[in-house]
Amino acid sequence: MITPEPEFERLVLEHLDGLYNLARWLTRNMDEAQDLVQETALKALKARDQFRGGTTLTAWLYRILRNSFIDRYWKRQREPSGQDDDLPGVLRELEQALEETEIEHLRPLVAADINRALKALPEQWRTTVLLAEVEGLTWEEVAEVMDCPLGTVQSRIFRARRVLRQLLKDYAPEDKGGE
Amino acid sequence: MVTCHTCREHIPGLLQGVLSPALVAELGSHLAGCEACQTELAEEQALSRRLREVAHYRLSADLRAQIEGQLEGKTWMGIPTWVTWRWLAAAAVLLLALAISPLMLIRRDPLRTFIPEATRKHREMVVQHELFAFPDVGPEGSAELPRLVSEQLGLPVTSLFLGDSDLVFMGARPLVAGDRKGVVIVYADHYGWVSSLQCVSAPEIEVPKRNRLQVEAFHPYHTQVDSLQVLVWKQEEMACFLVAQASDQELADLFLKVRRGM
Repeated sequence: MITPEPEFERLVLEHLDGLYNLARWLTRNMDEAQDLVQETALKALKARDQFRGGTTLTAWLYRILRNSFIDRYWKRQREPSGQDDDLPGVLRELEQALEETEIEHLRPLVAADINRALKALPEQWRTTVLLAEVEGLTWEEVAEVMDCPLGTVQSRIFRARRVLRQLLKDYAPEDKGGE
Repeated sequence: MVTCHTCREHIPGLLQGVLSPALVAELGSHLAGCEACQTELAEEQALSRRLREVAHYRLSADLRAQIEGQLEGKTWMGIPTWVTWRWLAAAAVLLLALAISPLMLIRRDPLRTFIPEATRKHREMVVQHELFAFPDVGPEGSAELPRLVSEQLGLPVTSLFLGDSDLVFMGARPLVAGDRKGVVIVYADHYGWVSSLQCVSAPEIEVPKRNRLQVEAFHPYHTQVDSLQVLVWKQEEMACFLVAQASDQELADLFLKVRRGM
């Protein structure tokens, strides 16, 4: 039996919204994101003795979540069954993109643009930007989560911002045409 | 002295407040006299404002309460709640598949199955390369690749070709070929031509003696499917399929790089 420390629990609970936000962006699916957050919280609880100084709890939790997501992705690829998994990856991504485009029509146009641009980024760039710019992690913490050098975080943010600006410019004329 | 290039490179850091005071002062001096960099800064600031509009998903009250309950000093449950009937059903299907698979292996001619599968997967990767980035194992994660491949195949893999200045490692994905576990590794040259190496756990497959190419000391099996060249060889219990749209010489060069890297 493991008895959690109240302080540790409280800190984990404080991070649930941020973890869920990243999980949604990673999985693009509400149920899967909920499963992922739950799995992360339970893994953190179980492995709390492994949490060491030198990293922040924030970075440690996000890292558990992202690694769990990658593990799930690899495991899922190993399972031959499942309706969605029979679709080639490209079709699946296109299908998801279509679904999410529909959802975006419900949001204010200005926010839809940035969400759409962010979704177009490769996962590593998107997660880096989300953690640094939306969740407010320091670049050191982002490097910890992404398991990469600080210079890589800097370069990803630089390149991702370049692409985001270009995408937002690309989207602008077609949106104006619809007004 | 700060150039425009350096200034623009540091603008994200400037906005994030992570630069040293000395560098901030240098950038400030440059910005004061450079209209182009001022415009760049204004555009980056606008982007930061837009990023604050990004959808921020919130956890439902129900799930929050559920997780709180689990964290509140309760006994660690052997089966976490996310293991639902769906997971149990998937596990049952997997067990059944594992039980049946040895019977299926006896009947199949492995290369007849694998080569079309390898070229199909290659084409899928070409489309993926053109449309999307590879989110799973990117170039920065390539050092981890032998470990991931070992885990996926259940075979010891200590080294893999991770690209060079002419042939860039683009990414890797797990794959299922028939009932086997495998991995596809994607490379691209400077012109964007994609080559893929697919490694599959296949201890009982024998590579035919016919249609062998001699590439230095190696003798891979060679075949062509439409415009794609395919080389097949075994390394211990792993079968390797190299697929590329290449001339004979390009294929030989590519093979040597990949084969020597393993």
